[in-house]
Amino acid sequence: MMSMQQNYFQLFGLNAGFRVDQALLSDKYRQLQRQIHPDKYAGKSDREQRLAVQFAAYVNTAYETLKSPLLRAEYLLSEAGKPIDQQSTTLNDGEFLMLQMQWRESLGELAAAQSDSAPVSDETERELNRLNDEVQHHHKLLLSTFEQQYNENALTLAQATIAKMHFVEKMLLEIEQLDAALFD
Amino acid sequence: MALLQISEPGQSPEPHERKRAVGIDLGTTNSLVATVKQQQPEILAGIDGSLLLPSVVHYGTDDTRTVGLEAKQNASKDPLNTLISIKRLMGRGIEDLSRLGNQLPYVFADGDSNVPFIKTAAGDKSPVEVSADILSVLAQRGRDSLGGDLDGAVITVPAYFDDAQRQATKDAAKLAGLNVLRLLNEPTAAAVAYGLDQQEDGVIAIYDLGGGTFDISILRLSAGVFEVLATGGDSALGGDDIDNAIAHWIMSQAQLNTDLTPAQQRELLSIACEAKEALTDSESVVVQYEQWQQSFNREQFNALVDPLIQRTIRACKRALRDAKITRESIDHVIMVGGSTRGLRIREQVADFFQRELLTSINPDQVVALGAALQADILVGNKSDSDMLLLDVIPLSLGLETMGGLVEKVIHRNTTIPVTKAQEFTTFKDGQTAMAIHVIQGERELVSDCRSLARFELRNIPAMVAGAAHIRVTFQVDADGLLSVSAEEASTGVASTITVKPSYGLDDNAIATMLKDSFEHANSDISSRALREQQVEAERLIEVLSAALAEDGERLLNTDAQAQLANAIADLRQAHNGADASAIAAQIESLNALSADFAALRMDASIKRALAGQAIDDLEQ
Repeated sequence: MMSMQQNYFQLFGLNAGFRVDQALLSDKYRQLQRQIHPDKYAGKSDREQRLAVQFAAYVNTAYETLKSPLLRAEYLLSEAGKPIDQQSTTLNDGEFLMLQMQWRESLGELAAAQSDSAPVSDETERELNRLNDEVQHHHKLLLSTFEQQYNENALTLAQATIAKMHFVEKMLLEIEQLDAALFD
Repeated sequence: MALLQISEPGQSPEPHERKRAVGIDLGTTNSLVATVKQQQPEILAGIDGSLLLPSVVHYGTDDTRTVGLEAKQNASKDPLNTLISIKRLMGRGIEDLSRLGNQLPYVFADGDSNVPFIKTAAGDKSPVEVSADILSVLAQRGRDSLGGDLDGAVITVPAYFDDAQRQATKDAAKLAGLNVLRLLNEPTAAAVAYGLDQQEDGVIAIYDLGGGTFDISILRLSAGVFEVLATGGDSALGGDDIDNAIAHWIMSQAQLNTDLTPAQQRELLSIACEAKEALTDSESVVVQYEQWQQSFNREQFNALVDPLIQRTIRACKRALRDAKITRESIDHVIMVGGSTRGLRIREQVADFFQRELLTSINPDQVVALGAALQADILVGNKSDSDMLLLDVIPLSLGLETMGGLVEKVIHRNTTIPVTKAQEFTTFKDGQTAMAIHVIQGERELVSDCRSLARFELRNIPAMVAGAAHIRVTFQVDADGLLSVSAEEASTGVASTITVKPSYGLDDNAIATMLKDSFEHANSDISSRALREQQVEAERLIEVLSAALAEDGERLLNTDAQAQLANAIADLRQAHNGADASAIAAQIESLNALSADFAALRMDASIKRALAGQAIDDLEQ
C-alpha cells in the first residue's frame, strides 16, 4: 500500500541533497498533481476522493518543504536522525547573538522614527533597505554554511546553523512587516 | 475473464452520454447559471430570456415566494419581506449585523443560535434557506436546458470567504438538492474563463469587486495549470458600500432625518445606485429624493468612493507581497464583477498596476462561465482535459492557546489540500476529553480573529497527566473546508469529534430545513428520497463497473472480482425497486465491500504517476 511516509526526494524523483533544481521540482510537482489532485476524482467514489485529498495534501507538504531552503535543511537533518527542536536549541554563539540585538535595535529605531501621519522619509527607506540587504546577506551565508556542514556530516554544527537561520528568517519577516506598514 | 454487464433495457445508466453539469455564480446582487454546450460555456436564460437572476427573494403570506426580478420590484414596497444581498449574511452571526446594520432593514428573530434568522411573512428564514431558494431557481434552469436531473454543480464563492461562509454555501446547495462537485473561488473561475479563452501563459491578477465582496487573486497560468500564488480581499466590501456612501451623502445634503423607515432606506439606496451608474456615462447627474434635488458630479462621487477603492488597493499590495512578486511581473489584469464597470475604479486600478485592464469578457458573466468549464471537466465530460486548478486557503487557521492568543497552524495562501498535525497532551490524570477552539485570521489575539468552531475530542484513553500524545490532524480540502481528526499516538485510539460551528447550522437544523422545504414544495418526501437513492445507486454502479472493467483483473483475484460483481448486481436489483432504505443499505454494503479495491486502485494510479507513465503506456 502506498505509504505517505515516503521520502520527499523519492516522491519527486530527485537526488537527496541540499541543492534542488527548482524548475525540475516544479515540473514534477505539477505532473504529480495532474494525476492525483482531488479534482481528478470528483466523479469517483467517496473513498477515492478522500484518499486523493490525503495524498494531494502530502504532495503539497513535500513540495513546500523542498522549495524552502530552511525547511529543506531541516528535513535533511531529520531524515539523518538529527531533528530540530527549536524550543530546546540554545545558541552559544555570542557574536551571532550580538548581531541579532544590533539588528533588532536598528529595526526598532526605524519603526520609532516614523510617526503615523508623516510621510516616510527617504532616509528611513534607505536605512530599511540597507538593513534588509545585510540580513539577506547573512541568510545566504548561513545557507552555504549549512550545505558545507551537511555534506561533511557535521550534523551537530548543522543543527546550530539551522537554529540561527530561524532567527534570521524571523528578522526578515519583521523587516517585511515594517516595510508593509510604512509603504503600503 | 471479462465481466459481462447484463442490464434490463432502459434501466441501466448509459456511461457514454454527456453528464449534466452546471456552473453557478451565487452573487450578492445577481446570480447566474451556465453550462458547456458544444465545447463552449454559455449562460442559461430564464423563462423571460434574462441571463441575470437578481439575488432577491420575496416571501409572502401563504408561504409564497418569488425569486428574481419580480421579487426585486417589491424591494421598496415591502422591504421587510424582500431579502436582498443575503450573501452578506452567509456564515455570519448576529453580532456581525451591527457592522452591516444600517444597510439591512430586516427584523431579526430572537434566538441563541449564531445564525441570524430573518422574520418574514412566511416565517423565520435563515440566510442558508434564502440562498437555497435562489439556487433552486438556477437548478431548474439547468434541468430545463439540459433535459433532466443535474449530475453536479460547481458553485463559486469569493476567494476570501472563510470556512463558515463556505459551509453555509454548501448547506444551501444541499437544501436545494444540488450535488456540489466543487466550491470554486470566484477569481479562479474568472481566470479559467479568460485563460482558456486567451490561451496565453503568464501571471494574472484578478480584481473582483462584486456587490458585497472584494477579492484580489494572483495566479500563474502555465500549460493548463492555474496556480494561485496569493489571494486577498475583504468579504464585506463591495458595490453596496459605494451605494451606501452615496445614500449617506444624499441624507446629509438633503438634511434628512437619520431615522428612515426601511422603505425609505431602500429607496435611497436605489437612487444612489442609479446615480452611480449614470455617472459612468455623464459628467454629472441630478439626484432627486422626494422634494429635494441637487446635482451630483464625478468629482463629488470620486471623493466618496476613493477611500473604498484605497482599501482594495491596500489588499492588492498585500497580495503582491504574499505572492512575492512585483507589480511589473503581472502580465494581465482582469476586472470581474458588475462594480468594476465604474470609471473611477478602472482608472485607479489601471493606475496601480500600470497597465491596460482586460475587460473583454462580460464582468457579470465571467465567473459563471468559468465555473461551467470546471463543472464540465469534474463531472467527467472531458477526460482529455489537462486543466488543473491549484488554489489556496485565504486565511490562516490557528488554535486558541493560553491567554487568548492564537497559534497559527496553517498559514494563509498555503496550497490546498493541506494537512497539518499538532500534538497535545492532557493536564489532568485520567482526562478523557479535550476542547480545541479553531480560529481564522491573521491577528495575534483570539478576540481580533474569527471563531470557526469548537472541536470536542472524546474517548481519549485515560492516562497520567501529560502522558497522552494526542495527535490532532487539521485537513483543508479542495473546497477550502476544514475537517479535524484526532488519535492518541501511543495507543492509536481515534477520538470521536463533535463539531460546534461558531457561525453555522448543525446537522439537526439542516435536516429540519430539508423536511420543511419538501413540505413547501408539496413534493412527496418519500418519492424524493427514493429518487435520491436511485441516483446515488446509478452513480456507484457506473463508477464501480468501470473500475472493475479497467482494473479488476489486474488488482483482484477471481473471488474478489466475483464478489464485487454480485454486489453490483444486487444493487441494480434494489435500484429497480421502490424501497429507498433497501437501496441505501445496499449502497452502504457495496461501499464497504469495495473500499479495499478503491485503495488499491488509488495506489496503482499513484505508482503510475510516480513512474511518470501515462495510463495509455501500460495498455500495450
